[in-house]
Amino acid sequence: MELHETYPCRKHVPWRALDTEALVVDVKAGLLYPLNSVGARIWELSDGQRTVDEIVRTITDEFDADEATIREDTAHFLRELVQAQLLSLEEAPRSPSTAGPRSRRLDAGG
Amino acid sequence: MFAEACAQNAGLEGDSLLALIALKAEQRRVPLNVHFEITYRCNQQCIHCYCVVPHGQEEEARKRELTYGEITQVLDDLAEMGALYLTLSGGEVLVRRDFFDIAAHAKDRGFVLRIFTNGMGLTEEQVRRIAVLEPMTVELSIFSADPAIHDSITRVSGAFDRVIRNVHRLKAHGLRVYLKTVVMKRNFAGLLNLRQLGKNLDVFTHTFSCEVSPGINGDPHRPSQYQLNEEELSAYLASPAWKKELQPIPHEPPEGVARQTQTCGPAINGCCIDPYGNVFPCIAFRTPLGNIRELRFKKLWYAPPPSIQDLLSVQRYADLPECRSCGLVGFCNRCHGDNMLEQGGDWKACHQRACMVARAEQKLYQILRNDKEGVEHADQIEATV
Repeated sequence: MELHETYPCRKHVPWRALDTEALVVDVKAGLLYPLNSVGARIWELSDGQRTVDEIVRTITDEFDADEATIREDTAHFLRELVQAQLLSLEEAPRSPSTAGPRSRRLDAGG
Repeated sequence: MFAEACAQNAGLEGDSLLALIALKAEQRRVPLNVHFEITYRCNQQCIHCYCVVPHGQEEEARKRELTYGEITQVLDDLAEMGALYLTLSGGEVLVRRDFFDIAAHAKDRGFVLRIFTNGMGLTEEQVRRIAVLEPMTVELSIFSADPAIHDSITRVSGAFDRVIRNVHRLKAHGLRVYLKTVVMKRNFAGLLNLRQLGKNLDVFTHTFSCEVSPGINGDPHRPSQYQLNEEELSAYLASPAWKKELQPIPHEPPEGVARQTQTCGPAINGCCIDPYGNVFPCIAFRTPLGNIRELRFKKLWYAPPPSIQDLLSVQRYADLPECRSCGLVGFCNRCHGDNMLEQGGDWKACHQRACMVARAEQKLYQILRNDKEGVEHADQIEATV
C-alpha cells in the first residue's frame, strides 16, 4: 500500500496543543517533542480516521505553501513519527477510541 | 529528529520553538505542571515532613479528602486546560485504595505522570501495576546509606531495607527511579556514602536538597531544628563532591541584576492541589486561589483573588523592595512560599534562609575565584621568569 493511502494514527502518548503549537511526550524514551503549527496540525489530524492524502489536502487549504512541498514534508514528518514509534500507518480507518488522547486547542487568552 | 525538521519548517531551532511554546503557556497561564497531593496520610512519620497526618488522626483526615469523582473531575478540567505534567504526591499515595484508579484516569487523559512514594510498602503486584501506568518517573526519598539513620528520620524500623528492596523491584520493571535526599543535620555526615549507594543502585537520578519546608498546618516543627546552619552549609557547598557550577558574580550593580533576574513564578504555569480541594500557587505558597468543591478549577484558575494577583505581579527581584538593591541578588534563589510560612505572612520581605544560602555561595565563589586568580597569577610570574 502506498503511503498516501494509509491512515496515520497517533499512539496513546501524552500530548497537548498550546495555541497553534503542540507538545508531544515520548515517556518511554524520556523525550519531549515541540511541534510547530504545521506539525501540530498534522499530529492532531492523525486520528486514524483520514488518509495521508486527506491530511495533505487539509494542510494545503490551511497553510500558505504549494501542495507538492506540503506532501513531501508531511510524508517526511510522518515517517519520522513512525520511526519514533509515536504513530502507526494503518491500512484501514481505526475507531476513534484507538487513537491517542484528544487535546483541546487552546484559544487565545486561554 | 522530526521535531527539528518541524522546527526548521517554522524557521525556528528546536530550543526556540520550545521557548516559544513555554512563553505562550506563561502568557495564557496554562497550568502545565500540576502537583496533586491526593492524601496527607502516610505510613511513615518523617521528622521534617511539612504535611504528614499524625498517627491516630488518619480516619478523620480520610473523610475530608477529595473523592475519586471529585479528583477525576478536576483532572478532566486540567487536561482540557492544557495541563501536561501531573505529579501524584502525598503523604503516601498508596495508602489511598483508589490510587490506581486515579492514576489510570490520569493516564487516560494524557498526562505525563510522576509518582511520589516513600516506596516502603510497595508490593510486587503494586510495582507491576505502576509499570502499566508508564510514569515518567517514580520518585522516592532516601535519607542515608546507614539504615539506622534512615529509619530514625522516617521513624519506621526496617524502612531502609524495604525501600532498597523496592528500588530493585521498580528497576526490574524498567521504571525510572528517582531518589531524593533532604540534607539535614542528622544525615549530613554520611552523604558521600549515600551518593555512592545511589550510584550502586544505578538509579535514573539522585538529587540532594538542603531545604526543609516549614509545616503547613501550624506544625510546631521548625526547619531550623533540622536544616544545616550557615557553617554546615558552607562546608556542604565547598565539598568537591557537591560543588556545583557557581554562576559568575555579576559585574553590574545589584539594581541592574535585580531588574533582569526572574523570581520563582508560582500560579503562572503550575499549581498545587491539596487532598481537601484547595488550589495553591505551588507546594510552598499556601494562600489558596480557591477550593474546587466551591468552584470548578477552570473558573477559579482564571479569577484569582487579590492576594494571588499580587503574587502574580511579582516577576523579578526588582519588584521586591527589600531585594531590588541587595548585593546578593545574583546568588539568591528565594522561595516566596517558604518565606511566607517562615515570616508568618510577609512573603515579600527578605527570605532569610535564601539570603543565608546566597551568602554561603558568594563566599565560596570568592574563595574559588581568588584561588583561580592566584594560580593564574603564579602562572604569569612563571612565564615571565
